Amino acid sequence: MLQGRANGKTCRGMVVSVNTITESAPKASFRSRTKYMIGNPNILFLIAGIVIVVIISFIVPNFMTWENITSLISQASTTGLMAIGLTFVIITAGIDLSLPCVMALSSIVGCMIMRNTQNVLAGVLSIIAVAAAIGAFNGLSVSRLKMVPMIVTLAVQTVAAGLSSWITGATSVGGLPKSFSKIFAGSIFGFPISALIFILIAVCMHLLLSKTIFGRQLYQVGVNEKTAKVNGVNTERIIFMIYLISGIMAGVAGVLNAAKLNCAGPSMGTPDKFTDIVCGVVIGGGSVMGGKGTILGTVLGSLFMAVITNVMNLYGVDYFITFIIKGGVIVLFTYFDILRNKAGEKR
Amino acid sequence: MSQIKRRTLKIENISKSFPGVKALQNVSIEAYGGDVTGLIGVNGAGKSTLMNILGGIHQATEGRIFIDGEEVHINSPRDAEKYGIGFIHQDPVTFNYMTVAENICISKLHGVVNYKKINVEAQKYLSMMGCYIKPTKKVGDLPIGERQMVEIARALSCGGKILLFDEPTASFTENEKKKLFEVIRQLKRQGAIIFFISHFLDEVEEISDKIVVMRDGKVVISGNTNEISRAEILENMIGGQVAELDDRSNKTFDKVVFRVEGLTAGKSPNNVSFELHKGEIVGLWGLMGSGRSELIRTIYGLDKADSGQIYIADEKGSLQLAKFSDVRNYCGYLTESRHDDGLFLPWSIWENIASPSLQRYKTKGPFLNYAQQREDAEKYVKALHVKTPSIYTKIESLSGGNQQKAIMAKWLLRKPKVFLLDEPTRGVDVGAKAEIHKMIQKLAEEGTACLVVSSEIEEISVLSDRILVINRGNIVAEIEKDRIDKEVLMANCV
Repeated sequence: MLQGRANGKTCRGMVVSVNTITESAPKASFRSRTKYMIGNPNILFLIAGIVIVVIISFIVPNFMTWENITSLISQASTTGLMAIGLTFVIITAGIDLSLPCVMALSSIVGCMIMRNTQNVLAGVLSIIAVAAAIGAFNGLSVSRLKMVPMIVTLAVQTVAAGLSSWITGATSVGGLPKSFSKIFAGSIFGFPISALIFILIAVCMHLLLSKTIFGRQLYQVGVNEKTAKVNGVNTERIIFMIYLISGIMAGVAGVLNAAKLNCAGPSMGTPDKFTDIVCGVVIGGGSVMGGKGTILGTVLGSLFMAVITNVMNLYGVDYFITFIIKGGVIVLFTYFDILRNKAGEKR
Repeated sequence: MSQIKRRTLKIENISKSFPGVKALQNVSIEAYGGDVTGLIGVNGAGKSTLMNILGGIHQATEGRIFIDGEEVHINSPRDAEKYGIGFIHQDPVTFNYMTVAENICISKLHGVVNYKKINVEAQKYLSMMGCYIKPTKKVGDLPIGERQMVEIARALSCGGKILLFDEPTASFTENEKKKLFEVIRQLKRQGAIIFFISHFLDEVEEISDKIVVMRDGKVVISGNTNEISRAEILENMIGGQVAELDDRSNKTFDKVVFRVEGLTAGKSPNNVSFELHKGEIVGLWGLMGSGRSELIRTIYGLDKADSGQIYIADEKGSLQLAKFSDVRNYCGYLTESRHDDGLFLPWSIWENIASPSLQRYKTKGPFLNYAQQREDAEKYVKALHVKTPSIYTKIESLSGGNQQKAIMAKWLLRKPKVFLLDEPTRGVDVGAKAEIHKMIQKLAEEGTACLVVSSEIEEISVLSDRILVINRGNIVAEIEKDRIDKEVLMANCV
């Protein structure tokens, strides 16, 4: 029946003012579709970012060396993984402040188990399990108990930081099996394994977010939770899931980080590490207002952040000044987000 | 009132262009004191622009305005006030934390306020309208109808020679509307020039002495209300014929597809039972606050039910008990306020249309088929005459009527067994309204059972095959097609 209507056969009774624009829709649609892609301000900002990196690579000494690039990517992978987790959360207009401290706590617990059992697999799995459990706690608090994400995750951040220092006596957990850092901090054909894991997870998460029902429903919740509910989306489950994912990402980041350091300690994930994470997401187009953000954007944003940090290191910029610059970058990109919205409105 | 003393307002060849649009072209209108001029037109016809020019919010590009034979230049709302022009907006613009008197005398509040004096003054204007609201009450505590009265009183306090009502009844109950009309008649007797804009033709016909129909920024027809037929008005508004609704009076419905039994959720709904038949349009009629939206939300599973059962017909046509969380899979739900919970405003049309039907686009793998989504959206946009440059257009840039059609498209795509429609034509112009009514009929023809909530008596009596009357969360009456008329409906709901 509906097909019949589409043919225009049964439209006789309708208002006669069929407008001419829709009639020529197929032609216009290709043009408007390309406009939709190219006119997308996010892409313009990404191109601008890439240009900056290219310029940096020419003018900064020692930047374009293999050692520097690989260390840069493996550095970016820990914050990048957590930034991916945060992207899911930020799309729903939530926030997960607990990420770095969860990474530290889960690595500490997992490494203790690994030290005692000398079993790498048990250690790695327990790192991820602890992080996932904390993520699930965040998720339940926000989705079921309707607590405010910022407060819950701030509290969890504090508890996790406190626990990490308490159970380790503020020292680090060492004595891990050699194969642990060999596997997760090693390299294949000169390419760091941590970077490979990061890229693999990023690709999976990108597909999950952009190509699956879960991903679409997640954006629906972010843009308008009420409409999503009317559409039949189980919003509670979605919100629970994203905090769980965020926790798991912190766990994976913890594995890579502990392998790189060959130990785990409370200093791995101090609350200020959150700055780098949120920088990556915001530069990549995520908006704290919700509904926006992509994995590709976040990955590029995290790499951009890593480049800036790296360049500052190469130039020997004072550690404390890097904070000022990072803070400035967040403000700048939040303002860009507003410009982006304005540009979007004009289209 | 003698002819000589009558106030006059003459608008001569007014034109107004905005960048890229000619909002008004050579509009000339004459209006006299003691007359109500009804101004009608679809959205974007130029009614509001004209009123905004009179109210000093916009300035005309060309043309002249005369009041009592003298040319006036209205460059700001303050000027408008000076000439005694009062503007009453669609949604009352009031300061909710201030008192009624403060609101009414807002333009006279300077320095130290003499509350005794302004209370007396406010009382004066309120009683002019035959309205008894305490001047010391906070406006935020008043119901919306009384807030409107406060706004009218404010307009009166500024002279009130010329009053512009811009869709004042949009969010009114029947009673509040009656009250407003009484006030307008009162003001009419006092010799004010009144303009009345409304989407509702029957309202305009009821209250106005003269009718001016606008389309595309021009006056297309004007004359005395009793000399212009409704068909003429409609034709001129839309510039074409309006969709005629089918006569469904001889239809019978026997196959029950949906049954609600003893549905209770808190106070409302309270032990509600009814049945819907295949292809039937059932109206759910009740005043605001009667629990109609709550009933629909509970059926749809958005509000939690305390007790009761819902049965839905399966493929073979026999009724099966459904879990509350499953009901929504068989239903479409057009919500009462589309901006609130009907749309994803920043998204394109196709994304909105496909959004509740993602399950349909699952490919063999875990991924979604986007090309198919766009294709279907394109198809439905065409079939339902959604006026848009393309399916990639952001839905927030469409007019209300077209947004509503897009929402219809999104639910039609899901091919629901039962379609719940809460105020399907609220804030929609006459042309789109007729199209939406037609769509509902068409959908019923195809076998969907439709449950339509509407505050408009007209709409619900024209559309429904049967009407359920709801009051305080209870179904209090059921009215068959041949007994549907206004008196019966009004009598049953209070």
